Amino acid sequence: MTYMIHGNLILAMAIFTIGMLGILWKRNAIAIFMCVELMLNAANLVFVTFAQSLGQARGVAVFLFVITVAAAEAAVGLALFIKVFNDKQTIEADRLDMLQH
Amino acid sequence: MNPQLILLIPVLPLLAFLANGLFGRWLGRAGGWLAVLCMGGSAVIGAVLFIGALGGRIALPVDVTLWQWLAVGDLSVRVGFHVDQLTCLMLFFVTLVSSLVFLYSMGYMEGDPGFNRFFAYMGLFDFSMLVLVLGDSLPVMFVGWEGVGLCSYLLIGYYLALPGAADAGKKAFIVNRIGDFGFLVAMCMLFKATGTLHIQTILGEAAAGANPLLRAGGAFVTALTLMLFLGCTGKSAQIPLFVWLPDAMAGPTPVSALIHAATMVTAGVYLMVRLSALFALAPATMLVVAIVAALTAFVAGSIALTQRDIKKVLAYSTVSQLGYMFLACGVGAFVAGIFHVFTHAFFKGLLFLGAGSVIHSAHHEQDLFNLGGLRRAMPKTAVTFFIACLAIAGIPPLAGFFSKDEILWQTFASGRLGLWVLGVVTALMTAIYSFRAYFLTFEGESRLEKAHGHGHGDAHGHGAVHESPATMTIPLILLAVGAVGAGFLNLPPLFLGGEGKEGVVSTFLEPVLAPAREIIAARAHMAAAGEAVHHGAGLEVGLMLFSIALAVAGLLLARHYALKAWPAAADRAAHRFGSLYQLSYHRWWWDDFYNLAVAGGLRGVARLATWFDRWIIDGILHTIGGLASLGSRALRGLQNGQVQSYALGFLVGVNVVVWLVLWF
Repeated sequence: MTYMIHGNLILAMAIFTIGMLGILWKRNAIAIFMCVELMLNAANLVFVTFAQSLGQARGVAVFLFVITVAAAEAAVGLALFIKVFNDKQTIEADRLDMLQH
Repeated sequence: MNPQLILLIPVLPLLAFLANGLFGRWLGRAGGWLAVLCMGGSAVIGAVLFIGALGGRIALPVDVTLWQWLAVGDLSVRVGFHVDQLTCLMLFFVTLVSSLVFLYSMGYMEGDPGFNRFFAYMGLFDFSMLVLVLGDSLPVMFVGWEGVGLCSYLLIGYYLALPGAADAGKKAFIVNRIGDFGFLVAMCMLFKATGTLHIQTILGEAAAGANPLLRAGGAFVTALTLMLFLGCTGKSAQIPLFVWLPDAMAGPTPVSALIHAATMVTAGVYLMVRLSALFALAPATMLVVAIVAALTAFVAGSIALTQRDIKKVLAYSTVSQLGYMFLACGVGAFVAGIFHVFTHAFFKGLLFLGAGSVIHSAHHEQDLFNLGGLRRAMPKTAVTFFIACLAIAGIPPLAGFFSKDEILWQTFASGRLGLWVLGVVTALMTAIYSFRAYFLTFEGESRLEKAHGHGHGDAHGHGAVHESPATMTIPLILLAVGAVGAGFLNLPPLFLGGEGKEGVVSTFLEPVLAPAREIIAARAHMAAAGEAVHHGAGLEVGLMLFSIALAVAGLLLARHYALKAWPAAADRAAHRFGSLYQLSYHRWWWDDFYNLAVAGGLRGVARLATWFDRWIIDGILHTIGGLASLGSRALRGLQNGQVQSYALGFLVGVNVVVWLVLWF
């Protein structure tokens, strides 16, 4: 049991770190977006792991919420990217820098 | 007499003000007539009141309390009027002369674009003056006091387009403010001493002598009365604050007549006589008043000798005559002072209205050297002006003789011979400058055409000089009657077949002035028991003849220099007394001195303040602002629009915080 928790937590940390580094390094907005999803799911994995080990349903409930919100967010985010692309012919994050001093 | 009728006296001019101020556009010329009617109504009530009181048919004093104005702590001020003998006398001539000036203005201001504005201001002016005279407490009086100051500002600056007029108005207002400061301080001191601002209560305490702060000759009461006198010097144009009055000539001439004869400048003398019991407690102040007044009379009289502008001559003449009034008050002869106010109102009003009549007809020519020979064209103005000159010069039996001679006699009797000499010299100068103005204006050859080019005047439709319309000459004639007859009011009944040696007005005012007289008499008694100087009637008659001789000498001198040997003799005299002439012509350089010392000093302070503001205050602010600006210039590079660099910022920040939390 303890072994499974450790394994899951290490996996979640790895996924979270990959997502974070992806956000910092990737240029395409959709890739960044996917990295955000990775981070969310890393968090989900931690929730589910502890729900399992502590025998409580609350962790699973939060996981369901996060999945729902992430789906909605994906819809909004993709719609935004399409609008931005129509406008600027690019969705590369480092070129969308008009909001500056 | 019904007290409500007394209320009408100030309310009617207020009505004239409101009607002309609010509905002047629709009233037009009718507004002017309405104002004349209102003022005339006031004058009728004033005359009925005065005559009734003089005959003893109206019991005085009458107190009318209107409403509670303010009550703060110990201070309680009610708006109320106090009508006693002094008030009656003031009301009588203020309303009478004002109504004549109003009537005169109907002719003088005809066709002026600001006709109704003018009458509105005039109404407010008289309302303020009447409140000042009637007020039974110092704050109410102060409202009137400030009101006349405001109205003088409005009326002096009446010709908005004239560059000098606005400046003259401002000057009058600012100089008066300096005096008002004195009045305010005196009010505070009186409240500290007595705990009330009700005039009759204060006078009662002063007369009773129980108040430790109002001890006779005490430092507190001396400072207090000096502050009051500062207020008087502002309103009544005494040294050092007289400089505004000559400049006030920038206003329309009826305004000058109103300011100089009926309202405003008499306020200071009135205040001093009203509070005579307080002044009597401070012999040092009385001495200061007498000296300042005699100097003012002398200086202003000497300036009037050489001025070329007819209105300036009259203005300095007023300052000089006001000096006489204060001189009388300063030597304790309050009756003589207030009686000179009374007679002066008639002949000075007449002089100004006469000058206005000349200016009106002579196409606004005010330079005496360009006038002359106007008697043939405007006989009524000339004769009335001559009567006024006789009156002011003190030729018996005209009004000025009685009042001025009384002042000189009282000064002599007080034993201050230096002041008496100044007064006598001023009397001679009074005769010279007033007749000089008369001869240069009305006698000899006309210099108008020479000044304005031969015959050009007629070609341009100016028309020849002609007598003024009836609305202007009727007031002149009525005032001339006053200038002849006003002096007889103070004749002892002895002369009229009655009893008593005291003059009618002296007896009439006795109840008001008795406290002051008693205080002074008590002090004289203590200081020199038995050493009472008693001057015989022979000496009085001798001095009287002396001053008549002086007046006649002045007339003859003026006739010689301004008529017979004009202009050669005058030029020679000006050359022979070059420096004295310059001193007089340049008004003793008072204005220049103020410009240099006061205005210059203030300008220096202002320059220092500007420097401090620019380099110290602004410097500090600019340094703070500059630092913030520099800091933000460095920091704004962080906001580069790269979302990912912000994310890196989060990451680093969160890590730092988390590690810090774990570490400690």
